[in-house]
Amino acid sequence: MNTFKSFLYLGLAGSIFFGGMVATGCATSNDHAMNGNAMANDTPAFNDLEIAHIAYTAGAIDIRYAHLALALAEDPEVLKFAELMVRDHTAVNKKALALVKKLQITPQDNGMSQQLLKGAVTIRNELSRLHGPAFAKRYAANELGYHKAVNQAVEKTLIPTAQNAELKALLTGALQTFKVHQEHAVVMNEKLQ
Amino acid sequence: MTSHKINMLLIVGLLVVGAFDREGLAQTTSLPQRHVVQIDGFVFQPPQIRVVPGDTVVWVNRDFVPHFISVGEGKWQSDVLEENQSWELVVNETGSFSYVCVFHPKMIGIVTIHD
Ligand SMILES: [Cu+2]
Repeated sequence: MNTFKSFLYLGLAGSIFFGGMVATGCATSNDHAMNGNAMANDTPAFNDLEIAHIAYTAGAIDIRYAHLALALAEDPEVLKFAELMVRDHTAVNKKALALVKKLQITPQDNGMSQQLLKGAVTIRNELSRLHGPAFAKRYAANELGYHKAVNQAVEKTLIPTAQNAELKALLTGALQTFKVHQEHAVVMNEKLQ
Repeated sequence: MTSHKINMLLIVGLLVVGAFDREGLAQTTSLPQRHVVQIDGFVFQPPQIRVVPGDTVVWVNRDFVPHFISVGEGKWQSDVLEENQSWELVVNETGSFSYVCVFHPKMIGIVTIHD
């Protein structure tokens, strides 16, 4: 898959991050479409060092959302979900760090990691102004959207692009975990309706 | 002792062991068994097991995220099982008990203990 397509996925992730804010979502997609055009010269979308960085960053972002939820949410379903996110994403990232150490590599910052982090700042700012049921609903909706977007990127872009067999295996295990979270998020959203 | 006598003793011995194997041990004093349930990819494998009182069920977590097993709605609970950790439960009563992972409640299994 080439860089341009990967950035389209990123655009999708971006538009989910920004929820109903279509204008912002479009601007984000356009930015990345332009970057994608500039870089779409048959170079692989991401190298393994970048893929490792993206996977780790995606987990770390969700852990931060969860900490926010543990501080601001009251709903027991939401608190339970947030605890699950901290526990599982910490386990996956621990595994990723162990692999990085074993392979003696340094994960590389990249456009997708930056985009994920940028989106997360916006969401955290939004979430931190909410309380109680309003927080719970927004957090739950974001968790579902975030896991969908990340899972799509991991499944369609990162796993097929990864070269190292151990990294591929780690991503596959991570995807399985994140898909369970996505199902969980669906249930949480239904309960909050 | 002549070699003939030794041979006779060996034959008698083998017959005695054979008889125990087939009738004695197997039927009257069946040894407690260990049943292993693998937790792999958010699934209990096998999802259903049948055991007898005195048997041991061992759950082994092959996932890299932690799991936490609750059997019979909290009647028996594991500790948090990290990757490659296991939990052993010796069952001493009969009944059919469903169990779940408390962390991932879509993970379910059944252990049936029968006479
Ligand atoms: Cu579990």
